[in-house]
Amino acid sequence: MRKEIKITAVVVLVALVFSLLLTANVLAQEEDRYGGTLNAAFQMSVAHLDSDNSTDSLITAMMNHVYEGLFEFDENLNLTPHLAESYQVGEDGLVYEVKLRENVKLHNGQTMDADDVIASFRRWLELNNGGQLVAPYFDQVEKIDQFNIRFKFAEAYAPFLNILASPVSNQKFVVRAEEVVDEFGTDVIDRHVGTGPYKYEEWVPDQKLVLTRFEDYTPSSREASFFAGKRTAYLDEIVFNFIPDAQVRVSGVQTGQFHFAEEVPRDQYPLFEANQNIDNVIIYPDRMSMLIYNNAEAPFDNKYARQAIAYALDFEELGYAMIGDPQFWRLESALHEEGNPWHVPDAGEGIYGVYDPEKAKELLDQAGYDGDPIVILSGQDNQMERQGAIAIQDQLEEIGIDVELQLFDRPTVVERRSKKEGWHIHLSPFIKIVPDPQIHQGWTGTNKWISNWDSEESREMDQIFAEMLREVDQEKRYEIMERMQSKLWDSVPYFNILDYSRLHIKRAELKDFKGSWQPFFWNTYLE
Amino acid sequence: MRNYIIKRLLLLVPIILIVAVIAFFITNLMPGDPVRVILGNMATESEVARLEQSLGLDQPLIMRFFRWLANIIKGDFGESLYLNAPVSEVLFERLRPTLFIAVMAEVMGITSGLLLGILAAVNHRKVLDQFSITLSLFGISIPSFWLALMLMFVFSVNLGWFPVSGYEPFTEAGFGSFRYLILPAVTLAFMQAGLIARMTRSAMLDTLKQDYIRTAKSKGLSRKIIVFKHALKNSMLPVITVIGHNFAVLLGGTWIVETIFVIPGTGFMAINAIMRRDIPVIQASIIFVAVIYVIINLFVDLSYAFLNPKIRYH
Amino acid sequence: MLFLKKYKKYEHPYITTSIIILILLAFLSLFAPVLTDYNPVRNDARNRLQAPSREHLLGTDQFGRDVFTRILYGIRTSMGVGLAVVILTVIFGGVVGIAAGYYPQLDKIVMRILDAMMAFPGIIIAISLAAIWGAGKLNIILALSFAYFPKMARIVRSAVISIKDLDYVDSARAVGAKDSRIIFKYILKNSASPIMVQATFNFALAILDEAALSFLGVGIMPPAPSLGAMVTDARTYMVVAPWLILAPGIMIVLAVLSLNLLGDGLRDLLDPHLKNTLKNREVKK
Repeated sequence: MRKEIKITAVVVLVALVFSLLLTANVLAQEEDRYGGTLNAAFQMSVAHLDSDNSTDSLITAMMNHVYEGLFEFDENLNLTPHLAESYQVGEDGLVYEVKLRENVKLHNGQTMDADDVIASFRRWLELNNGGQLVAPYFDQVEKIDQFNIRFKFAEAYAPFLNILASPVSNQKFVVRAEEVVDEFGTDVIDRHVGTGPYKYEEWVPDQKLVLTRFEDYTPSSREASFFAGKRTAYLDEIVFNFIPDAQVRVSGVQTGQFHFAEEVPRDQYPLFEANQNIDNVIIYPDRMSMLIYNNAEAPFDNKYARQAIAYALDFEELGYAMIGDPQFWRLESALHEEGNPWHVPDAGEGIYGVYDPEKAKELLDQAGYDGDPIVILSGQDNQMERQGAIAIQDQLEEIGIDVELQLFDRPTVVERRSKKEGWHIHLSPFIKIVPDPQIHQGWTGTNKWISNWDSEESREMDQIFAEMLREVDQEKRYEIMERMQSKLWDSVPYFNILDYSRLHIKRAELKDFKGSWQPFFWNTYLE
Repeated sequence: MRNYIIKRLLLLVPIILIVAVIAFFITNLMPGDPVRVILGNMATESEVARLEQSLGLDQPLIMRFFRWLANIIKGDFGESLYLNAPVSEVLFERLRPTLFIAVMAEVMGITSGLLLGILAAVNHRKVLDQFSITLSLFGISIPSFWLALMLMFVFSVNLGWFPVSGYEPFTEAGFGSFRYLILPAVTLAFMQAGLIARMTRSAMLDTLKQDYIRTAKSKGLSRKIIVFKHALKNSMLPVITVIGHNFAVLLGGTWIVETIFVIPGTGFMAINAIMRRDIPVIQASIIFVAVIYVIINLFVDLSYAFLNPKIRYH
Repeated sequence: MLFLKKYKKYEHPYITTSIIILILLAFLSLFAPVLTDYNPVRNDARNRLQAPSREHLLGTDQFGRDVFTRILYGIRTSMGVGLAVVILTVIFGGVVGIAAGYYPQLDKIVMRILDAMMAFPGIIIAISLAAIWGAGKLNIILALSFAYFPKMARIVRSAVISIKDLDYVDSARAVGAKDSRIIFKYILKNSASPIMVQATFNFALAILDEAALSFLGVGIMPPAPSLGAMVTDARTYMVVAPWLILAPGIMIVLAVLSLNLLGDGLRDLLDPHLKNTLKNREVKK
């Protein structure tokens, strides 16, 4: 009896020691993850870091580490409260009540509260491109108490919450310290005080942005998934280096100078695959190549001419010319990818991907096309735009349509396409990951963005759009989406040729990295 | 001599002034709107107008020109639209790598160019001469950007001897920072060596047949002394001229080479500025190159006057 | 012609070699349609980045276009641009140089402006102008001519100055010959040599600089094949398809090299100063 007790005691003791060791080990492993400086090579530099004052999405991509939204998207594009604790929507869709998480620390040591959110929101509403979309329908924002806020609308505006967390451009609403908002007003902010796991340390224009860990960070208690949930800052420091040349980014990763490189040449995929120090990170097709017409200028002021081009192009051939290896692109007729709640499976049936040059010519005749050269305006600095334009020119000329190619550097392209005449077709990469059909990058309605679309059809589209804005019921909104999608493929003010992936690479020692539409470096660590 | 220098310095004023006028109007007539580049893809017209106003770009061109001219006379080149700092400060900051590259390239170019040129001249019409001629012809015939890419491909990508590109400042990496500059400097040195070798060769050949060389020969002086003491010294004038005139080519070359090797020097900055219409930076870069060029050439002329007493004070 | 007479007399190997290469290049580019079955701009992207083979002697590029074909047409573009630049440079430079050299009242102001223009490296002027006018063959030609003509003008001017006070020009003037007659009959004829030598070097330089402009994205507008643009495009594929960058680069070197060789030869042939040198040496031997 005693012996048994003894044995039991020994067993228990051993088990106890063992489990203690194990826990310690796990803890130690967890502890081991901390530390190190991550060097990331990014493609382009930015003019400044104030997301409300620019539409350059790279700002948000980097400042996601510094600023957080009330709401963030998770891996499956589900809207998740982040700095918000919970929220309620009034039945008529006119009132949103948001409860904030308490005890969230800002980088200046203060606790984030309703005043910070309201100050940031007012600035966002006035300056930010996303805010400006909301503003016409918005009434006012009210402080209920220190951690409760009420957003009131004059007219129902269904995409509101999605737009607050939007991954498109710099639309996302982020919370800044009230004192900073007061100090800068509408000017470009260059002192950054947010709530994120990293704080702003140093920015050398054209060279690098340095962020360091924020020790008092208050993580969300939700499960980590892309931008939503718990963020842990394992890395001491993150350095974003701006390296415009792709080959240089690649070599930097090969030599270990960088741990991560954004957008590297897809044709070098097999080389990276063979290198055990390097991992390929293929981003789920998160870009689409958009062919945009100048709807104000003949022949494309006529929908038959616009349809004709879709028939005249061999999309698959374009895929090879624009992107290359087929594992990086796929044909997709809908504005939203498969798996996205807004995906419309049969979009563009009968026109998308139907290669029929004869029909194209018929349609052009029907539109009264007089044979004047068609001007394709595109940028030199983006592979998809440049090679796509060259390939489209070749295909159109092959069936006897005269094309003039105009490839310029970015400033010239941006200026020329902002005009109503002088160009016919422009190619542009659109962000595919869009959580709401109404926050599409260059939404085409009457005279929206650059498509100069102003006709009977565009006004019909405006109506569909307005109807959808008011509709709060998800299922009914989807029905409207289907109508919108088929209207879009009938009047084709622009159309998506294909979806494509970007290829990033990372060093093997960078662990637990999640490839999302915007690269982020919390919850990852260096081994 | 002093009067000569003063006269030459005064002559610089109208030249720089014309350069400034050209620089201002070239940059302002470029198509492409910096404001729209800053604001990004989806900027609205009201945003564009607001930024234009705050940058003073809504004023008439002539007004802007005079204000700008008044400012640069005071040494103020304005603020960069992107770099968040005064242009003169940025330019100064970026000067170091460019200077390193230019000086390294010039030193390499002059040594190998002189060597090749002398070898060719003293071995006139022999194998060494042919070899030197061919090599120097290649030097001036290879496009520098292609050479740069080839060097990068062989020595960095395949052999791994040098970093592919990038730069660490001297203050951080010490002499390690030169590893980044060797290939760019070699690229530029290639052309300089070609130019200098050709000029050295023909100047030496010219000198070697002069009367006093023949006299020296007949006096029984050794070949070495004749070549290095007499001939070389007297062939230096045209060689120095070539070096001076091609310094501008060298500076132009740094624009391309810095872009390829991603070295944050003045050339990389200038090309970047052109590509996104950072107008104050483009203007300052152009004026900077022109000023360097005229100053170098002033030195060339002065050394001319110094080496050749005949044209002094004239 | 003066040139031919002298050529026969000296039979210079440089000139012969370079002319052979240049004729070969001209032949390749002019007879491109006969030498290849492919179209230089027609895409076949499904067969992109193919290695050199019997079907595609130098492989295919990122659009599946035949690289050999594009090189043949690319030489045409490069040589065409070079030739046009040379002609424009000689015209601009000639007019300005003669005006400055012949009319002293113009000289000072013209020279100051030329000095200022020469204070920009040519490539920088060309980059700026090409950026202003936009890419395209004509604009490249204009930009490069604009960048090169100050030097040509200076050469012409000094030739004019050295000739215009010679006795026989003075006597022609005394007889009452018109300015235009003097310029065309005496001055132009006698300053032809330095112009020709400089023009040859300009030709070479123009090919190099056109390539550099294409490299910076302000060169010939795609899809037209140009050697410089081919090198530029190949940069991305340097690691996976090195033939794309080697072939056009070597072609540029070949063309520029033979033009420089020709320039050297012409200078030896036409420069009286160097001619004497040669004579002396022969006497010595």
